Amino acid sequence: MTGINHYLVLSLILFSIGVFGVLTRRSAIGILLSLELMLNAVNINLVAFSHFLESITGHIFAIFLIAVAAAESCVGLAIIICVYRTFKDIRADNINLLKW
Amino acid sequence: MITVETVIFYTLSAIIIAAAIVVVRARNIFYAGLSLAVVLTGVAGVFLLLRAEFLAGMQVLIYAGAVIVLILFAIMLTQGIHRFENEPHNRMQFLALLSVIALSSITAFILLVHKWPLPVRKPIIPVWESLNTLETGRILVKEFALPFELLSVLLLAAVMGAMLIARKKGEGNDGN
Repeated sequence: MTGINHYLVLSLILFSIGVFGVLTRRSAIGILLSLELMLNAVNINLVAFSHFLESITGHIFAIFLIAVAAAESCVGLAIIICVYRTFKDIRADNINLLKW
Repeated sequence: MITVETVIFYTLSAIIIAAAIVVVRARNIFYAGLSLAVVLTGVAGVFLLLRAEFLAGMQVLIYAGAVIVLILFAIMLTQGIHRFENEPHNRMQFLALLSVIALSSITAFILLVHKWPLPVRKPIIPVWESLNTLETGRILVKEFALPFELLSVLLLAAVMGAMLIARKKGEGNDGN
């Protein structure tokens, strides 16, 4: 029988892997991929609480989160393509024009 | 007691975690994008286990369909499929691992110690008898109608902004 802690721990592991990816990836697209992992961990959390608290509101939040994540990756990838045109490179540590 | 649901949950978790590790560690960014599709489909399976069948469908349609295609296109437009990165990770790996382990162990300690005030469970209904799609649709256009409409404005703004950012300079007739 799976309780709420099973789902919370799964989501925690997924979120931690995502944080690790954001911290260590050099490619900007890789960072964006890890960000999607973190957003999905949040979605699992919301739906798990919605299921175990027997309230449907968590599903609505998860729907909004999916839509906002789609908008975010849309704009993010556009920015990455624009940066690639300027620098011919998308490694995050080489994009240092604004670095002091 | 081992039920079918438990077995499915552990199988899905193993698939999700293995594919997520591939996403953050793969040398070829294209493989990372493809295994992100595996993660997203696995998360859709977890949604089904939690009786969120509408969300599972949306997850497959929007994430595993649209967002993955968008990401793969962006990879092909920038790095190319065949280019392996010599050094796909920066020099902070040990520090990052340390801080991630610290973060996750503190959070795991808190959430396993805490007693969630959950209501007493009703008998669990099978997925094919769940009425959550009906309920979700009803509440989405009644109580959450305004946020729902605002969300469509946000999506429109995001798409227009992405087109404006990503187009080449000098395209179109407006002389920009």
